[in-house]
Amino acid sequence: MEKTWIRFLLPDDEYKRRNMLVYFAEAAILQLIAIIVLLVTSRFKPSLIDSEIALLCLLFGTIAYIWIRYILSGMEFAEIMTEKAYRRERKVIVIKSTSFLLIMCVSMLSFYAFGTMAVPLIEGIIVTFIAALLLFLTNYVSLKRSYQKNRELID
Amino acid sequence: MKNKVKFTRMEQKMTQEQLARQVKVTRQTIGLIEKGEYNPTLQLCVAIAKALGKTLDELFWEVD
Repeated sequence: MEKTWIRFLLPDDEYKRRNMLVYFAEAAILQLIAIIVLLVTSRFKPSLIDSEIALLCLLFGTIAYIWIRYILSGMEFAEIMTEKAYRRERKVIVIKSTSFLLIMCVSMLSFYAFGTMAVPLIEGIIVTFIAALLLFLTNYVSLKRSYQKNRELID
Repeated sequence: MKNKVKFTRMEQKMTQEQLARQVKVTRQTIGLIEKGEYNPTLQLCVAIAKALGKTLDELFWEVD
């Protein structure tokens, strides 16, 4: 195991760990470039981008980069080798996403019934639906990529 | 990197899953090593060699 303080973020498997370190490093370099670009633009056009929005973009951009690289790498479902295991895992993903959607909708409805919701109910439900869809899509793509990769490695 | 991991493992009638469990990595990692698509660390090479009862030379040394 590499001697680094981010060890707690890294998986136990050596291949996954090395790739994750590469993704973190790539994201850090991209972030550095983005900060330099922002510094230069703020010098010449200070009102061009709001600083809070710029920081939020940097934050979500970095997380999204690492997340997308991880999903597309096909490393997540490292043990899914057979058609049967693939179908079973796909079912688990559907159940997980549907449960998330149902739990969030029920809790939102209860918050709404007790009058503690600051936003309109429909907006909350739309956001929940998008989140559930995103959860399903990312898991599904990751599973498909992993299965495709693993199929070529089977003995 | 070319290696004889797959050949030796099959010779010993061991599955990828069994080897992966013994050396504490995923089956995917073993598959990638066998295909030569991932170069393992020396630590993992030693663990694989021990699990298969071979030396590093026998598994990983390329002879022209």
